[in-house]
Amino acid sequence: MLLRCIRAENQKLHGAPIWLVFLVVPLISCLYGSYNFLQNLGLLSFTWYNLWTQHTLFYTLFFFAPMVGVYAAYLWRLEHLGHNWNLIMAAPVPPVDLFIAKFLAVAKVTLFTQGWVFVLYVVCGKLWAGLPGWPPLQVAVWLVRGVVGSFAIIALELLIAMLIRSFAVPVLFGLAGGVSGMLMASKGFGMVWPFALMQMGMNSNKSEDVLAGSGGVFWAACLIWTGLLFAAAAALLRARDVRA
Amino acid sequence: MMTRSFRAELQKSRRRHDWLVAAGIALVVVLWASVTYDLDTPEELASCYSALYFAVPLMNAIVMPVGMAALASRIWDSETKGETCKLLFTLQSRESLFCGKAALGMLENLLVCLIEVAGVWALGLWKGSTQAPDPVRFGWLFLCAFLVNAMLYFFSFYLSLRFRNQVTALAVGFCGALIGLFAAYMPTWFGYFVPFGYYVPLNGVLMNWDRDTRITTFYLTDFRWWLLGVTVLLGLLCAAACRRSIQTKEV
Amino acid sequence: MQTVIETKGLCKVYGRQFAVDHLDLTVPEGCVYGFIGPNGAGKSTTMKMLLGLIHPSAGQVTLLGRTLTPRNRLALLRQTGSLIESPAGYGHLTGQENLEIVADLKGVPRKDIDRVLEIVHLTGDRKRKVGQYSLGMRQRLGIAQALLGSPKLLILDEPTNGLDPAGIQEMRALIAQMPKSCGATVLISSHLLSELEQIVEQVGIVNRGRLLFQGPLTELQRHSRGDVCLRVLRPRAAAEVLRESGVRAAEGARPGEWTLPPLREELLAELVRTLAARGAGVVGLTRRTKTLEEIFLSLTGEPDSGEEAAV
Repeated sequence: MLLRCIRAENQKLHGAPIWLVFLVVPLISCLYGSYNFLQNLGLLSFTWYNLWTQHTLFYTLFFFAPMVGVYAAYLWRLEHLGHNWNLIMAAPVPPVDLFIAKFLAVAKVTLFTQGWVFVLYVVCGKLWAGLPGWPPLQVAVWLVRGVVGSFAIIALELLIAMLIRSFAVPVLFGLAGGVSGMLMASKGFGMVWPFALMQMGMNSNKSEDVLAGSGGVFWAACLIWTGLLFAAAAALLRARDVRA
Repeated sequence: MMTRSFRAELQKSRRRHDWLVAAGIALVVVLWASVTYDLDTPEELASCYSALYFAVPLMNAIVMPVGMAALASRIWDSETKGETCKLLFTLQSRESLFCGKAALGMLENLLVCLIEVAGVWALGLWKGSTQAPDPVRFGWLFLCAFLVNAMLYFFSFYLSLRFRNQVTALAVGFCGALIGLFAAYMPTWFGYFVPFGYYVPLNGVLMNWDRDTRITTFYLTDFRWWLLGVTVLLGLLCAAACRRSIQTKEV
Repeated sequence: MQTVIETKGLCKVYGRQFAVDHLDLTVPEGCVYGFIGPNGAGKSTTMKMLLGLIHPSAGQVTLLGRTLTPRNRLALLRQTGSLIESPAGYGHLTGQENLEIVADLKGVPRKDIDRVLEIVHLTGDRKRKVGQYSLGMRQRLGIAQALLGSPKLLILDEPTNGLDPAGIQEMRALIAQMPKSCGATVLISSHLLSELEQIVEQVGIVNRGRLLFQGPLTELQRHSRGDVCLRVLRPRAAAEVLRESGVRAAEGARPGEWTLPPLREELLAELVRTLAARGAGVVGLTRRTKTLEEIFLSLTGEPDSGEEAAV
């Protein structure tokens, strides 16, 4: 059932130029990050940690959430247009599978994006900045944490895009969400705000691990938020009348 | 005919909650500006408004390219979704349709800028700024925000007109915001080539952060009138492109 | 009689393909004109050119006695109501609000909305959002938009799309009385001749961008006469009569059944009289109407060839 939905989602994305956004955003972010890193060596020490901060700060704080918003809005817009809602809700699959399939589609791209961020980070660090040695293994852990932290954002953005038919609003929500995540995390409420989870997981504004000692809480927060949002989506899909 | 067209646009915007979106965009900027710099000590409060003049354009550079793309795409998207072009083109001139949409868009832009400027003013009062708000600086803040917004609005509007899928305008606005933000941290000349981020080179405030004392000081500088001229020129070009696109649209 | 729509050599070329190919349309005042052709024949393209929505590649359009130019287009369109392809409407607004937009743009007083809503039976649903309308209701809203301001000319592109049988019947009656009740001329398109047969006086048939026939419906009906099915009780007697008359009758599936070519009415009456007199026992005589495709074939082929040979 779910597999069929996933295949359908992948089919719908065929030929959509939307992945360009995912390619371009980390690229711009890393070009700037490397440049800024090299310009500010007076302030920053010449380490892989500092390059990481420069590479991912703006990306995680302001641009990741709206980027997911673009993707979520795009996926749901395919259903909002025409009479596709009738089509998909009449398909012989549980409604929540549709949501899960869309979630997995975005999660897959997020995974690729994070991989792309890592590739750019290593390439820029070695070839451009000429940093000695190899990046600390910890960075890979942060990237994985970023992916898990992003699950809550993906689910939330998909939920918003499912309910609001306008394309622009989910993207704006993402932007506001990124800002609010930064503020919540700085006030110490990061764990209770889905937009803050990815930022904390990526550890992009500190060189020491912000999650040192509270790793368990982090994983639990990601799990709970994602689960809650899935449950909300399932309930809404079940309860609301289909409106083509 | 123009007033008729504008009235029709107003009618269409009913229940579309455009005004809410516009107010939301402005409020995000104000709220964010309110927490960016510590404004507590007497020294900080003595340059409270200068800090805000500096911070607000930076936030504009992140929020507005997406915000304007959102407003422009909403205004055109209802025609796309309702397939109403073929009806409208038999009822009114294409010129008047463009003018109606442009007028509504600029009205929304005006609302965004007014809320933003009023918010900054109120923020200073609330924090207890000891620096007096300078009407000229506020005027400049307003003028720059409005004109750069207008330029970006017409640019996004053009993309919305050309590409049926609204993702294009949003994605371009979004990448523009990213580049615009980075341009703010690059040498000034670089920023001149990134119209998305014109808010920052137009702001007329310089910041200096002393590493040893950890004190931030703000200097008020002259206004870059010529860059404002460039903004207006680019804005007019984009508006002309939109007008042409509506004129030549086949339904 | 004045002509309300006249096109001369109207063409629309997409790439190297003629969507509309040198069309000379003449719609007289005060009639209901049926514009008929299969899907993709160029009906919508022609109607869009009449409204100045797309620009002709060649040729000109005359509306209400004046040549359509970019300058006078809106003035002419103010006296025109149209519904092209699917109906237009803002889903987030109510039916009433959608009509208010159109009324304002046309410069028609808003109280006219009550009248058109009454005509299309949407008065009860005026406060509902158009996004919640059924396809038929949207179609009726589209017609209400066209009727606002009592235009002299109505251009309706397949207006019965999506309506239920009762709705189609009602819409037909409404359109048929338009010339009398509002003094309007109606140009209406369809891909079914049978759908329009009861209401149109003038007909234009188009296929692949070319006008195959234009004229009164009665003239077309001569073309559309199909074969006649004959059923008798005594086949042997009938076979004799048919052989003697020289009519090229083909034997049907069962004994006692024949298919006759599309005979003229007088000829057919004569034949039946003879059959009856010779005791063939005529029990059934039905005329099959041609499908549009068959009419196309007969229009493009030699006119009435079968009938002349039969005499």
